[in-house]
Amino acid sequence: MKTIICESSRSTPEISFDAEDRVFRVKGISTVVNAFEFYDLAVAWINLNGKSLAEPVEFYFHLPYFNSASMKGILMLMERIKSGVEAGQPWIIQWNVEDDDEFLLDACESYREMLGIPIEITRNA
Amino acid sequence: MVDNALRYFGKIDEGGIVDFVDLLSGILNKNLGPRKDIRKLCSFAIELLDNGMRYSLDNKVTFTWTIEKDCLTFQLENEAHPADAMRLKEHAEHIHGMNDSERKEAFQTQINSTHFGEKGGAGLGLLQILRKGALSIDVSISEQSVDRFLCISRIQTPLNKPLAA
Repeated sequence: MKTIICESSRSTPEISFDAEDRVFRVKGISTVVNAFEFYDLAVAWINLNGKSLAEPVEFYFHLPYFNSASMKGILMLMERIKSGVEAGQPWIIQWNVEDDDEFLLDACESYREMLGIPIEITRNA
Repeated sequence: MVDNALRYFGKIDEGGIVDFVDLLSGILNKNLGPRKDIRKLCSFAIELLDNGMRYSLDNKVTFTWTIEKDCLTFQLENEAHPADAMRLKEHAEHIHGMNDSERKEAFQTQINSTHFGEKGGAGLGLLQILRKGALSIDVSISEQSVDRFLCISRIQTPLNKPLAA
């Protein structure tokens, strides 16, 4: 069953959790003005649903474009994932890159550097 | 000779930024051919328009892009509160004076701070534009009335060499 945590719009990604395939997805363009409020909803959902996430989960990020406020919001979400990993949760982060694009590769590298945890690059949308 | 140009005047919102980016990425692909930095170039436009949307007093901007020889120029004009206009100009001048390692350090400090601006901004946009290879960011401001300044932000990016990683 797929739970929609944040609905997608023209300027916001869909954030969802699929309990069957164990994938937490952030997918879509993110040019949202209030990035803190938007990504904080996802952080709050993880905090509230810790039990259903106590098995392996892939946190999959596919954001073709995002503004710098969103970059900071996404970092906030990844920091929450990192705290779970450090507490022993079997979670992994995947970052999707289309066409070896530099913007997306650079962003992934920045997140790896800032978080100090592995982020796996996937190549298919 | 200008190879390609577009000028827009009117209201801007989050969805409008996505429309611009769709159009711009199509134009850049057509004019420049396949490149791995198309999204990076578009991200510069996103940051400029994002600033315009946050700080424009009437939600209106004038946005121009020009591709001329080996240079891509974005220009944004919007009216802003005097304090916002002055802060923008000072910020642009400040980060222009930084070297690469100072910009990287400023970026890491800013992104790791838990603080978002009063208008929801991360304070990273212009910094990212310069870190990622824009040649220059020029910001000029002029007083229109006691409570209204015109801000003109101009970004130039060379197209004949790969942008910074």
